[in-house]
Amino acid sequence: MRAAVVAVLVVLSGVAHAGAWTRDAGHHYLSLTYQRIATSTLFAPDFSKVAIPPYEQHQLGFYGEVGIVSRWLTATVEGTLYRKNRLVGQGATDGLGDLRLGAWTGLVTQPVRLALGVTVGIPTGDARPSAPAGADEEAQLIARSLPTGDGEVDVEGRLALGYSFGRARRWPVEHYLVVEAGYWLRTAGFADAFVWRAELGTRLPWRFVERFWWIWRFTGVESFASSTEAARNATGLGNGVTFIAPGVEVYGRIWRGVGASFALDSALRARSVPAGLNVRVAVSWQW
Amino acid sequence: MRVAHAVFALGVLAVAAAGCGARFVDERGPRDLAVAPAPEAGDLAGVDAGAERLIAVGRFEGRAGHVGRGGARLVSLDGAGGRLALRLDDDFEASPVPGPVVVLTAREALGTALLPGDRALGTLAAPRGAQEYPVGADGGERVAFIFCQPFGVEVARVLLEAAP
Repeated sequence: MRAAVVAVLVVLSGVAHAGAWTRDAGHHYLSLTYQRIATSTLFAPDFSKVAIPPYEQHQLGFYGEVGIVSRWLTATVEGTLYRKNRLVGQGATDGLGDLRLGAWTGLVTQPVRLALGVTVGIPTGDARPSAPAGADEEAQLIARSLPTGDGEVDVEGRLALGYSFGRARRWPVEHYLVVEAGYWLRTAGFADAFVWRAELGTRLPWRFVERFWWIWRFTGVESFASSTEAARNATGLGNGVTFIAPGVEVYGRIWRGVGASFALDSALRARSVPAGLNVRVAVSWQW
Repeated sequence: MRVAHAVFALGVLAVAAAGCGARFVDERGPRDLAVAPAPEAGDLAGVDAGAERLIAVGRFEGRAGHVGRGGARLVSLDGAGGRLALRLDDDFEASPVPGPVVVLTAREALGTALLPGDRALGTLAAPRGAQEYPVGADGGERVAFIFCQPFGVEVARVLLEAAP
């Protein structure tokens, strides 16, 4: 059972939230992630898709966890080291993105895992980029429409429920299930939002393939902004961002605590975000 | 433990670097003046207000889920159609978007880009309230848009019909 819990920890740490399985004291996790979106459509404030000039978004991010007090306190840090927004043929901005610091505590450990997490968003990105001095007005408009951060401090509280099962004689396949729900308290004129995630991971018990976890997930944000308020920004960093996004991921253990993952997700229903396939690759290390 | 410290040092570095703004790279090629420039606001100087004549009127409607409402009028400032202005009424309102421009055109839909013949009258001064944009000589265009230029999205449209 302990092996199963450790294995679950390996894969759950690869996502953006520590979640239900908090980390033991003295244990660490670090991942480096690259993700890309390229699209020519946008989810408008009324959830319809509209055509836009080709748009690309590249992000290089990191995520770290440190177990400080077993079960009771895991600290997390997540940041975008580099973000590039590009409107092909018009202009691009690049620079540092935003940062999130968090803490998770385990409320229940048996028979299911239940943890409470609080993260704080720090606006280290640039919410209002500008073109160099002397640039024309259109260049300034393009620059301002491509922020690398949301420009606001926010707090998110989230409850995460986790359960691992399988690996039994009659059902040797191993699974974990995570269901999360939370409230995202935002400032600077941004509307608050309800956030959630549901995820099922599966690992087959046979030689070699047992190195891989196959993950299916749904991720969602439901902003309380009206359609009028949601019209401000179309890069996924503006007010009113809402989406339901199914995704798949495969995580592979390479050697000891080192692993890599490949993930795809795309929104089914959304507003104020680019409507494209989000491709993500990550390398991770836990020790 | 040293590695753990390094992880959090990354975070601290990110905070420290927060003062650095994003860099902008202009990808536009040589400007081909695809959009007919609107006259400067100064062109309106010296116009006799008493000679004004209402050419066309209409009401804005939202596009692609955006808010768009309120009246608009195309007026001849010299009474002869030589100098026109587009006036948005007090009740005008459009969704706030990045890079909004006011466009006068003969097309009923702009798609994702302005074309030669579309007149960009200037950046939308405010998302609501009365405002005026000089047009220049009457070219027969009777459709006005609020257009999000960076993302090529129509925000609001008004079909201007001949005034009674």
